[in-house]
Amino acid sequence: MRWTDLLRMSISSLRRRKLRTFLTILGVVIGTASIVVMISLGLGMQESVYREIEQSGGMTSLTVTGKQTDTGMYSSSLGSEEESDKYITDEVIAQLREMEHVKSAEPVLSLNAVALKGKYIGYLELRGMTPEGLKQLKMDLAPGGTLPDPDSQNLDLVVGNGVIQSFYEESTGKGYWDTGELPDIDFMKDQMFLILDESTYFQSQENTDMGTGSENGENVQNGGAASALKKTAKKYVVKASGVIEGDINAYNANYYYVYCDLDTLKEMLKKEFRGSVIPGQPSTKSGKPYSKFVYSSATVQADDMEEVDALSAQIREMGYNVSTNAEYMESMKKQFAMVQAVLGGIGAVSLLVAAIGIANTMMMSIYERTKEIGVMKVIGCSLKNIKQMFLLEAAFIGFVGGVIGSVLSFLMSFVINFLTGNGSAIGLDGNISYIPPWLMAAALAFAVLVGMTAGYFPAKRAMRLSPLAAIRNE
Amino acid sequence: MKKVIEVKNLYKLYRVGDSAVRALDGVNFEIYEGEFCAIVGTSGSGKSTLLNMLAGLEKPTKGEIVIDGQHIEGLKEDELVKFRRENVGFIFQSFHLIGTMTALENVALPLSFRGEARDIRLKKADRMLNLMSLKKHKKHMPNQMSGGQQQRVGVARALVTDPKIIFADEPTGNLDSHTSEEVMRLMQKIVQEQKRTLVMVTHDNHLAEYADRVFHIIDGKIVKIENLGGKHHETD
Repeated sequence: MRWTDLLRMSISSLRRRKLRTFLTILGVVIGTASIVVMISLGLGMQESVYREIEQSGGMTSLTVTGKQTDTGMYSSSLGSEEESDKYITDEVIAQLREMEHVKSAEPVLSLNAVALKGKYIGYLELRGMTPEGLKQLKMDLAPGGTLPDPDSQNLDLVVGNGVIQSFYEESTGKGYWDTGELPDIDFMKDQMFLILDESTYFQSQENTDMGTGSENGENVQNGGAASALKKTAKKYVVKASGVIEGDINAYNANYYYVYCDLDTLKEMLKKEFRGSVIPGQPSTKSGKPYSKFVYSSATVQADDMEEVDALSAQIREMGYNVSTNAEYMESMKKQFAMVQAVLGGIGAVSLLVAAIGIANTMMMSIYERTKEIGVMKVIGCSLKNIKQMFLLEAAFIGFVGGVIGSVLSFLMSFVINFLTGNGSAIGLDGNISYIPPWLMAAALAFAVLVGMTAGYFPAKRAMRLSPLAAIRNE
Repeated sequence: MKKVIEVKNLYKLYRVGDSAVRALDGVNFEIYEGEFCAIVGTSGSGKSTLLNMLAGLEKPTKGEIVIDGQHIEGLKEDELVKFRRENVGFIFQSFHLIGTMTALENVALPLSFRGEARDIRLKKADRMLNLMSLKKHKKHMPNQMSGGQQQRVGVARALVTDPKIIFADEPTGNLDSHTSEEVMRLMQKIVQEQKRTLVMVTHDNHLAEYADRVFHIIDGKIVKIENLGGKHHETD
């Protein structure tokens, strides 16, 4: 028998029991859609992590941080460099650059700063980076934005699209999360006051607010203790040279950060804290600043993905902490595999139920058509063809269910992404549900396979029906 | 004349409780090419069992069945299906047309099992239905036709594959006497014109008179073979 004839017969016998076929297909639709949607959630998470890694330097990036053996110990030998403590200094950066397979090594300095704008106060996480380092971040700037000019006298900022959430009304202390209204600040147009010396600023605030009670030990931390009471924190006028593309709902790797040029920031810090310890910098026991400027971390790019592991081991050997995107991805991959297995398993249960539905429908259909099958056998339909006919019917149910289920899962995925505001509601970059073409194809193939598996035993049964028994009962 | 069917010493035993019932008890006969044979007997005489065995639907307990030089008693089920597909046409008492197919599709069905292309088999079926004078009913479903019409579709279906042998199991059992005569005459005409071998089972002695030879079967034994050879020539 020809395949086209088999197919025609199978479809015509499905069409003759429209309601039952519809209900059976419905089961497969729900099963397929739930598997696809479940797995797409896991894939969406995976995708967002991959994107995040891509934005933070890709798979070849390593983050090197200093290592302190013990906070109480590092200042034991005054003034001199302590062997057990490792800081990221300019020498280290140079050293890293010299290493084999290192494409680039750029220092990063992170610190907290306060920004003032009108009635708003903002708490910023400032990251000073070299122009090269900023370029490597591959930030998507909103139109008209540029990266900070390293030669500029002012501190140019690149503001993350989520930074606005860090601004609060100074009088009430209420921010976006309390009022639901975004502060009225346009980073591209408005100038802000930036305060690097946070503690002095807050002390002076306290002084004016409360008058007394500020002569406690708090300011020791600050260094230059005696003068601190009189001193007011310097306010710098700063402007954003660019903002990250996207609104408050578009989460990305640079969401919460404010970037600026490293050298400019360094100069300002040195001026501001002349003769005292810059916050975040290590100090000697006597409260003297450390002899060299220390960065928070260094971003190292390896020239090849294969070298990342060897390189990170080498840098660890030197006594620094290293975290690589590749390691991060490895650990995430394991987690995702688990999440996907669990979610896919939940979906698979519904497809299993659908498979039972198919088997049941096929069984019923065979009982109904006992006579017909017998007649076909008598007039010469081969056993193989009979089996194929029923298998094809079951496969067809699986196929149609798979196709409709795929379309449905696309719609559901769209709705989920829409409702969760493209993932930002749960802190993901990009869509929470992601359906790649291979998932679609796999779901379809799986639905057909499930249909055929469910139809196998009924088909076998049909094949074994005795033609005589089938035609005898007149 | 060439032997088409040769039955030697055929036995069929059914076990009923402790005792064995002999449905066929040592049957021997031959049927020649182009013959119209009727097997006549009362119900329970073993006539249907004999026909089923000739068509390979039931296996004999003992004995030989040779059809067109081929022993069929030892064939496996899929070999038997193949044998039927290539050599046998079957006419049923209750027509057994596929209810979801038109008359034309029903007639073309056995050809599709042979893997013939759709347009070719529809053409053949069409010709066959014309021969059965069912021109107007080609597109009708079985339930839109009378019993006589349905059985003529059944005859067309049995003939469309050009089989060597046609088996008919009480072909007029579900028809009134008038249409029975009609169908019988039609079958007789085809056997003569197309030189086919037809084996028919019936309990009706009157209908058996259309045949060339009549086998009378009682309690699993052929008791009489009646030769009516010349009769239909006289009625022509």
